[in-house]
Amino acid sequence: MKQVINFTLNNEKRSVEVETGDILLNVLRDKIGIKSPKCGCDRGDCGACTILINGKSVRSCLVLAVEADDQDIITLEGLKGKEIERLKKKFLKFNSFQCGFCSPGVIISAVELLKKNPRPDAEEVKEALAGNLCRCTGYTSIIRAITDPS
Amino acid sequence: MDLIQLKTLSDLKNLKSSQPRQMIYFLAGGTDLMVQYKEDLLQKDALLVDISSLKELNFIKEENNRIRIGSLTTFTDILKNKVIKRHCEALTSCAGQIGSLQIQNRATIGGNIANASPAGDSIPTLYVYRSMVKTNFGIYPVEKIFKGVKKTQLKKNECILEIIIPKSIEKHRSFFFKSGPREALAISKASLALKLSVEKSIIKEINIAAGAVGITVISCYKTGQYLTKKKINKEIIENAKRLISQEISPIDDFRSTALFRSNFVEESLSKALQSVLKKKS
Repeated sequence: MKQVINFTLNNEKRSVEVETGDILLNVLRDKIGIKSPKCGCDRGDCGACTILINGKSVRSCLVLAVEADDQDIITLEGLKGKEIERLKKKFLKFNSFQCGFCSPGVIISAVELLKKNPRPDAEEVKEALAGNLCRCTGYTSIIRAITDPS
Repeated sequence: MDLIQLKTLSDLKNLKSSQPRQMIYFLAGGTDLMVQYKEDLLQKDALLVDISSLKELNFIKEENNRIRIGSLTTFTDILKNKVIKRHCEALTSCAGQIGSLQIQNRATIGGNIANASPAGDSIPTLYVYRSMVKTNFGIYPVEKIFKGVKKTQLKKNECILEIIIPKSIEKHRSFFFKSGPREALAISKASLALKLSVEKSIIKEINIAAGAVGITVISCYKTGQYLTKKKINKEIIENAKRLISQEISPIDDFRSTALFRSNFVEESLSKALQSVLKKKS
């Protein structure tokens, strides 16, 4: 069955027709063309599909598109401002990412953490990023970037 | 698969008559159900009832003698709540250990019950608080809900509305221990929850429940009975460990071994009893 959903995506009002069984991640990527959330495990383990719904990080591979009706969604593409610019520089400085597949999810989780806790220590970063798996660089350089004080 | 979205609680009543034969799954946070949906583990012609936007079911209320938690309350909300922290410290501790942040942001306490996994993290803590589960059909002690692995006694149209935790008059402590393959994001290999009140090293009252060591979460009544009115010491702890290992029925599976699970439950019990002792002396 088809249904039209209305929601805010990266601060823009959107309206999309979806099937009731469609997964939000697939709608974002294939119907709207927002490519930052990735499909890694497709079962809520890896965190590559992490987006913000109403300011909270969730796994978009476990959300039905129809559940996004009336919600406020932010993906990596919608992150703006000083904080994200600062983070970007840190990730470059510490060479935190190699293949980049996990990066959008990691950055979303980092942004959620920094909003609550602007100066997290390494343990707090580890806990906040526990749901984001990275299979190439290891986590040290990511944690360093987020905790770097300068 | 058909899907309907409920906009208000009263829509639940109309659900009764409209779909006589179909299997119904209620969709809350979806952190378990959507995985099953994707892996084709749900019945093909079932009806998915999305209740996730029912704001009426998202609350934590403190009343004179009880705390009421709406079934759609997420573990992030439970983790942050001061009333829960003051009265149910084991539930707070357990909420912080469930899955990852992204899961805690979405997973609901009602969903954790309805999913009926013997490894469901919040269930042992709800057992030891002697919580009640309110549905659109009635109110039951939480233990009466479960029939087996992923099986509940709930009827087809029955939807969990809230969890009621009676407040303890006695000063008490509660604990939750979980063993996963790593600190975060893991499904329990075994878990143990305890609630106890102690005066001068003598246990006045104790409730114990263990997770992932049987087809449902298990209440360890015999061990609790044995420990009641006993003065905590080395010998008593050793006896209690032996008793609790007889009460649980862990198995070997892909997540862990029966021996490990049994040891974990025994050692967690011992740890909790010793920590209470240390605090008092």
